[in-house]
Amino acid sequence: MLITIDVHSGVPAYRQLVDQIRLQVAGGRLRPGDEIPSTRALSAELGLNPMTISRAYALLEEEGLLERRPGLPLVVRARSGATSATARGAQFTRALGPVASMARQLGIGGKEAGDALRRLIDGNER
Amino acid sequence: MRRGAFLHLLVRPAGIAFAALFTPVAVIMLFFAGVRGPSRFVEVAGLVCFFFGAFGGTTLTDAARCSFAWTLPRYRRALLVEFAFCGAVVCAFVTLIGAVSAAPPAPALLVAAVGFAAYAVGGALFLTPEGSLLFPFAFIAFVAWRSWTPAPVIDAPLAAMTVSAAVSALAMWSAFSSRTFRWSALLGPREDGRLMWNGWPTMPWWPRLRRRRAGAGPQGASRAPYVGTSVLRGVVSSYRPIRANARLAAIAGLSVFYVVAVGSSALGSIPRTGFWIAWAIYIVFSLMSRSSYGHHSSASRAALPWSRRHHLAVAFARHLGDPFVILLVLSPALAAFAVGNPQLLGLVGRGIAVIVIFFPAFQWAAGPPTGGPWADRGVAMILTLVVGMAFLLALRLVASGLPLLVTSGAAQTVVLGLLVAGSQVLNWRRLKGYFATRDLVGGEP
Amino acid sequence: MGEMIFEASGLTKEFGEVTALRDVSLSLRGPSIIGLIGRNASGKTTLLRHIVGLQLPTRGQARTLGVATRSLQHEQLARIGVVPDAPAFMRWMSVGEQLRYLSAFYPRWDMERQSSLAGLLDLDLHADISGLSTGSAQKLAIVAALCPHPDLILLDEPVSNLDPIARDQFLKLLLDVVQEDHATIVISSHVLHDIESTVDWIVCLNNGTVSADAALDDLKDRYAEWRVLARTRDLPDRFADAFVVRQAVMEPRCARLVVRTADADVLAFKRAHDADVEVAPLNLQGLFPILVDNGRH
Repeated sequence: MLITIDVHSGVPAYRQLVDQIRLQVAGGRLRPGDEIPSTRALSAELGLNPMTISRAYALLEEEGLLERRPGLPLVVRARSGATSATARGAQFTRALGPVASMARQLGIGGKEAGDALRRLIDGNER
Repeated sequence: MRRGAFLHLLVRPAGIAFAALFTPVAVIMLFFAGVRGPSRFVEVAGLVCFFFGAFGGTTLTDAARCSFAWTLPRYRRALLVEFAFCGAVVCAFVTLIGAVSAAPPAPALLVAAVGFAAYAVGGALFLTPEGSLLFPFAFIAFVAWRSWTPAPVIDAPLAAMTVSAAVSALAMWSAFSSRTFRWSALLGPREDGRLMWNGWPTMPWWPRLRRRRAGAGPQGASRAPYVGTSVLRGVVSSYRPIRANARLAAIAGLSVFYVVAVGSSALGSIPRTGFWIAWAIYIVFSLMSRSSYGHHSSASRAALPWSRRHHLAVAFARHLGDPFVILLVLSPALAAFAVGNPQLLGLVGRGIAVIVIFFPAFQWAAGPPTGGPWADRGVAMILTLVVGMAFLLALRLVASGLPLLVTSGAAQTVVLGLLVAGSQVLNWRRLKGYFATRDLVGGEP
Repeated sequence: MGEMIFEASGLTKEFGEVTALRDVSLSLRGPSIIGLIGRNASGKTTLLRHIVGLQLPTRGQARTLGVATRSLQHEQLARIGVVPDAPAFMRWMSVGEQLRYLSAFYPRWDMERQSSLAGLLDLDLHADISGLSTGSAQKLAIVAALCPHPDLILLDEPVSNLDPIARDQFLKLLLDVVQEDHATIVISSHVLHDIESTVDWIVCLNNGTVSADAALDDLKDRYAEWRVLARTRDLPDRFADAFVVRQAVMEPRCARLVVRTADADVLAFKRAHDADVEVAPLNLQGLFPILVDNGRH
């Protein structure tokens, strides 16, 4: 599981972890049934307080993204396709917030912005 | 700040207190000595100058032990010049009194030379690493010289002045050498205690006897015996920090030598009783000053998982044990002395009782380090002088005076026993109050 | 959450005329890693000394591990490890001898942990203490504090003298210790950068009073930074809104504000001043000046 946490960004570490795991699940990098590293292992790898990790895991468990099995590591829960599509969409919209703000400042209209985005996604850059 | 480097440091509460306390005492001593003749005057003049020099030395030590003492430009030179200037003033003052009080008047040059030498030695005493180590031996040598050859100084003034000049030069050079200042700046301020005899100086050239161990030792190897809540083991462990003290080693060596010397001379009459008594008092005094309730340095006190009650128990046990340890060391000599002079048995007994009674006073005076005025080495010196004087006075009074008040030996024993018990009770209550309410680190006395 | 490690109520400490701690009331629970932050001379060292019973309050109460600090017994004290800000040891001993000496006072002393920590921190057991650098003395203090497997570890500026690699190793070490011993760690440090990754609770002292006592994540949520860019008209010289905690109006058209998120309404603000607002979170470095400002946060 490739996670990058920037403790100095101001966003609480647990929230960054939650977001990144959500992103990975939504994007398909973490498939239902995949095992999540233990609190101890992830804490050692990322150099984070283990409570931060457990808090993130607890939150994701509550959300229904992760599943706890007795005596075994946490796993990704199987979810329906529709829900994950909604989740993905919501994440993407959230990420676009600052971009929209920048567009407004630069005086770039919605159509121009949309075109630029389409070009980037389709892989044609100028 | 080239002008006033040393003078500036003298004008502080300790300096003013010292001047106020000691100057009248010095004047009185000098006048009395002068009345008894010029040779006596020269000796007392030397003694007085020594004390002034020693106080100056404590001030110098305070200055030298700061981290900036090494890097401040021309600091040593400024201190040296002003220290010497003060020495000249003191000598002039003493010479003046000599010209007035002594009949016939003591030769001014001789007084000045001897005075300045004593002043310089006093200054070098606590400043240099060698000084504090050699002091016990120098003291004994001086007392011996004084007991066996009463003041030849006045008879051979030229020789005396030459020797004094040489001693002055040596002392000043040693005190203000770059080696001394480098060592002092690295050492930093003294660690422990209020009495100036306390603290654990580590000599830079003291050879470290170390047994080389091969490898890092096996894993899970047995460690030192667990102290836990055992008071006895706590007391034993509190003696371990003492082992490394060079000055204490010198005093211990002298004690052994003393015991052997007195023991062997008991076969005949003991010559120069005063000398032996002076030596005994010096040993007792030094050892008493080392017994404090900083039984570990404050830093390691912080590290030990001892409850305050345990600290109290160990401190009191240690305080109770220390006088007995000293007396044990001196007992062969005391026994020999008593055997050789059975008529002085009562005197010896009374002397021992005074020592035991006065121990808690030294233990209080040698107490834990604190901030504020107690960090001032000059204050520590005054405290040493005052407590020391009180002890000597009590020794004299009780040894000679008690039989006048209470004639029967049994009654005397009862009185002294009560005083001993009383002083221990006071000590226990003081320690109890201290450990129950005081900060163990950075607190107040 | 867990065991009550330390509680203080109305704790006041005066040194003559100087008041080091003023009416401090805290409840620290474990296991946790608590960061104690504040400006110099704000009372951090004094508070740590009160926790271990070295100093006693002038007024008020302090209890550590359930026992009043003046009556701490060997049972409690053997569970506490302290790394003081200026560790001083017995200068004539070697490092190994000093550790052996200290080990006699604890019922449990893990020799294996001693060897592994000494190896990890690169501490030579044969070196003389008189020749140790400040950083090495600090490493020795760390080893001495951790070998008895304490439940409570107090660290006063432990990383200030360590080189960057030792610092990293030390912080990872702390995390291991927390996992292994379920210990509570109180770490006082100026290097916010380092402790930010490890602490989960923050206690901030300001002039002897507690100005913050909350989870780090909560504190980060409580405040936010707004970068305001005016669209059409100039911004006012000063924003009078109550939720604005700090402000810096740089030019007529841009400003940087720190706001209290609970009361702040971004949309209303944007409308009122006809400006664009970029909301950014604050890290511990950014929060620090606000926390040490007067008032409770």
